[in-house]
Formats: sequence, C-alpha cells, structure tokens
Amino acid sequence: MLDNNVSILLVEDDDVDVMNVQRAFKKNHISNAVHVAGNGLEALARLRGTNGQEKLRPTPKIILLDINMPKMNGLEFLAELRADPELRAISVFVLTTSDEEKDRVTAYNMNVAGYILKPVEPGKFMEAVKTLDVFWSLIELP
Amino acid sequence: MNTPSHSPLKNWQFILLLILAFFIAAFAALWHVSQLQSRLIESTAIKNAHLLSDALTEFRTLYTSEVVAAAKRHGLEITHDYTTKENAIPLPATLSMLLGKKLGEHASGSKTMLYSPYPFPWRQKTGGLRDQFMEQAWQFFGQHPDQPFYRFAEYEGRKHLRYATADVMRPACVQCHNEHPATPKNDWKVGDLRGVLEVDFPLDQVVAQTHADLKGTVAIFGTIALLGIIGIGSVTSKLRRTSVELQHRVRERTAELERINQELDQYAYVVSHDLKAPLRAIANLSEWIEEDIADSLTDDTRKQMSLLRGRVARMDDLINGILQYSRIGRIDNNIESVDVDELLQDIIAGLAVPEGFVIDIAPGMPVFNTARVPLSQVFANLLSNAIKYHHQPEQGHVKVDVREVHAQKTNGEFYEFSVRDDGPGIAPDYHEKVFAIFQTLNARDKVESTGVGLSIVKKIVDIQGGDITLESAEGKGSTFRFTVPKIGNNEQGGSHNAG
Repeated sequence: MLDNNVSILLVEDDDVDVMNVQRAFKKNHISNAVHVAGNGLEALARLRGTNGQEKLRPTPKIILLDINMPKMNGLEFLAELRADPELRAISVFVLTTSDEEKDRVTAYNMNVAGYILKPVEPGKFMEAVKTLDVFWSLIELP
Repeated sequence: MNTPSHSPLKNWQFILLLILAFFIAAFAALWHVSQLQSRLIESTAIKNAHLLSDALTEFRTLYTSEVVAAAKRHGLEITHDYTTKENAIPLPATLSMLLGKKLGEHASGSKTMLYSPYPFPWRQKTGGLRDQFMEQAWQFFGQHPDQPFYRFAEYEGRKHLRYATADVMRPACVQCHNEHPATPKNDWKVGDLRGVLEVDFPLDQVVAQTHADLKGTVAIFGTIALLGIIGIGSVTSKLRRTSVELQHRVRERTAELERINQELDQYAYVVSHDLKAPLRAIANLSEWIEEDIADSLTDDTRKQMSLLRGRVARMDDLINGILQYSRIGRIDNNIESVDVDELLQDIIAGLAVPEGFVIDIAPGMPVFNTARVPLSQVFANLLSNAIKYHHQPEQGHVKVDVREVHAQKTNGEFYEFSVRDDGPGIAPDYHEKVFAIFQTLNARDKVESTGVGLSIVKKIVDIQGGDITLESAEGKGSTFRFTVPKIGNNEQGGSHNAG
C-alpha cells in the first residue's frame, strides 16, 4: 500500500482513459490523491504553479504519462521535466498506446520508471494497476 | 545488388572489336584490289608487248616481201647505212628497229631490240647477247620458238616488262642472209632461230596511275571507316546516355515508390493507432455499464454484452494485425548468423502444440546470415497455422525441410524452406487468396482469426527478396515453400557479392 501522503499526477487527454485509471485505482483501493492534467503544458503549469495554475502541494512523486496529447506531448513534457532541477526526480510511468520502438527508447533515455501499453480489455488494465500498487509500496520514493 | 548489364562484353570492348573487324575487312579488300590491279597491269603490259612485237614482225616480213624484193629488181642497194649512199634503202631489220624506236619515243616509252649471237659486223656492239635475260631468251627459244619469253625486271630505277619473241628465218630472208657479203653465218635454213626480238615496256606510268587510283580508294575507305566509327561512337554514347537516364529515372521512381509505400505503412500505423483509442473506450464503458447495472441485467443482455466485448476483442486483433503488417516494412532488421534448427526449436517451444501433434525438423538445417526476427515470424505463422487449422490436432504431423536453390531470374542463391502439413488442405481456387490481408477461409466465428498472418508472411518474404508458394488440394494437406536469399556469408570467407 502506497503512502497516503504521496500524490499522483495523471497526464492524459482522453476522458475515458482518465476514468479508467480512476476506476482501477478505486477497485484496487488506492486512495492517494490523483491530479489530472490534459496535456504536457497544463501538467508543467500545475507542477510549477505558473500560468495562473495553483501549484500542487506536495509535489507529486509519481506521474502517469500519456504520449499522444495535444499542445505538448508526453515525450516533450518529459524532456522539460528532466531539465528542471526541482522536478527531475519525479518517478514517471509512461502509459500509452504507442508501442513504437522509437518512443520506448526515447522515454527510457529520459529515465522513466516503466513503459506500460494500455490494453484494450479492462480486466488487463486492472491487473496492471494492481501490479503498480505492489511495486510502489515496495520501493522508496525520493 | 542491381547489375545494370549481364553481358560478358563491356560496351567499349564491343566497339573496339567492331572497329578492329572493320579495319581487317577494309585492309583485306584493299589488298585484294591492289593484287587484282597489279595482275591487270601485268597482263595489259604483256598484251601490249605482244601486239607491238607482232606488228613489228609483220611489218618486217611485209617490207621484205613487198618492198625489198621490188627494190632489188630495180637495182637499189639494201643496206644498214642507206643514209650515206645513193640509191639505197634500209635493211628490214634496220627499218623495223627504227620504227620501234620512233614508236617508243612517241608513245609508251617502249624500247625495241633485235639481237642474236650472230650479229652483223656493224651491230657487233649492240646486237649481241649482252645480258642474262638475252641469253636465257636465246636458250628458251632454242626449244620453244613459238612461245614468248618475258620477265618483269627492274632497271634504271623503273619496273619493266621485257618481252621477247623468237625471230625465225623466213623463206623471204634466207637467201639474202646467206648471200650478204657481211653475214656472220651463211648456212641459214628456213625455220632456224635467227635472233630475238625484245620489246621493253616501262610499267611505272601504269603503276603510278594505278597507285593514284588506289590511294583514292584508300582515302574513300578511310573516310567511310571514320564516319562509321564516329557513327557507332555517337550511337553508343547516345545509347549510354539514354540508359544512364533510364537508370536514373528507375532509381527515382523506385525511391518514390519506396517513399509512398513507407507513407502508406505510416498511414496504416497511425490510423490503426487512432482506431484503438475509441475501441478501448467502448470496451471500458461497456464493462463499466455492465458492472453498474449488473443487478438489472437479464441473461439475454448479459450474452449481448459478452458478444459486444468479443467483437471489440476481434477488432483489437484486426488492428493489431494491421499494425504488425505495416511495421514489417518500417523496421530495419539486423543481419546476424542464425541457426535455423535452434530457431525452430525456440518457436515450437513457444507454441501451444497439442498432445500427439508432431513437428518434424529435417536434418541439415543451415546456419546462415539473415535477419532473425522476420525468419522467426514466418516460421511461427506457418507452424501455428498448421496447428490451428488441423482437423485432427491430436494426430497431426508437420515436416519442416530445406534445400538450396539457384534462381535463374535473379541469378541468386537461396535457401528454400518448406513446411508441409497433413491438415485439411486448401482448394487451388483459394491459393492466391490466402496471402491477401484479412482473407480467411472459415467464418470468423468458427475459428477466431484475423486473416493477417499469411499476408504478413508474404510481405516479409517479399521484402527479403524471396518468394512464397503453396501446394495444396482439399484433403491432401498443404505445403508452403518460401525462399530466403543467402547473404554474403562470413563463414564461407565472403562469397562474391555481385553488384
């Protein structure tokens, strides 16, 4: 079980996918706060408290990141994140439909903690979230 | 590895050969013409000499019989020095010599000589046998008085025809010769060889004219040859330019086609990717609805929901198939040494092979340089098809075999792998169809299949430069054969990589 003080930022533009994550969290009894940003720009604004957004406190220690998004996609966001001294330590899990080798390599080059393909079947995603929960409870986050 | 030309002769070698052949033919023709001409010159000279000497002989005979005889009756003296005496006319020989001399001065440059071993005293100096030719002629006429004797000789720096005929004692002459006070011999009989009449013709005028003609012919030949060579050269260079241009255009078109193909693959990839998002939403939402209204569902609606999700799953498979298919051309595979036997064992271990189903790998599977992943995909698809579509999986049998083949068309070396099963077989009508994307022979509900597998297999084999064929008939099992090119193999010390 993940420490309740740890908040999670979900960067995802698809409402159904957002619901999917929320539903899976609920089913797995993950009660941590889950913030949602619709694209990379919005996520950065919320992490930094810029652009009229309120800064997220405490800073989320885990980010679930989609790749294909409008305005600023996941990989561009990741590059910004890793260049920011205050945000670079955040553990990022890519959650995407893209199984392109190029995306995967680029993501891992920017030190993502995991690269998960969104399965079509709901049951499978549930299992993935369950595994993530176990993993998060096992590791020590910064 | 596209070789522009398969001809063993390069273009320039061919042209060189052509020019060489042309020159040989031209020189042979010229040589032949010059031979003909020199023979013609000689025969013309001989004919002329023959006519002249005949004319002189005839003149002398006529003079002797018609003039000398009458003059004698009138008491005129017949002598060689007639110019210094009164009432004297020349001897026949003297006059005919004079005629020959005049003719020579006026026209052909010919010389006429009359000689014998028995010259009259006043001709002691000029009338004897003074050289080898004259002696030979005298000897020759001793045996063949009725034939001419001639030689081509060079003297005074010019080529001459020396044409000699026998001067035979005629009845009209015998008496006079025997009775002449200064005669060197007085027992002449009719038919005796008296002397030799020689006519000399210089050939150089004729030769010079002929040579001038020949030079003209050579010049014409040379011009024709030059024009021919220039023509061949310009045609060849034009052809080469055209072929270079064509090659260039083919390359452009190929590049364009490759680009379009890649675009198409990219398009398929993006589209199928984008199709997945709504599909996932449908799957999720339907499941949530089902969960939320679980209590009010009837058996019918529950079945319908399950059908809905089954179709969603199928659509997911189809999209995955398109993704896989589009990825084949987009991803470069490393060439590495692949142990095919080991590769097959790995694939079989990963397949759900039913109890009793036998997969037999023939001995002698090669270890060769190729792309591992595509080869593995081809085998995996063919083997899993053999299992999936077998009518009696519990006693099915598949045999994997290999042989080396040489393709005439591309002049390449290949391995031909075959996967033979004893399944239900495929009617010949469908042999083309099975390789097309989304083609299945069973209703999708009976055997869950997307119809992508064999199209992927074909695309992979095609891209690698190979070929795939199917031999099958209903109830006879199926044999898929595909070829994989051998790439320059390190173990064999680098085979010839023609290109």
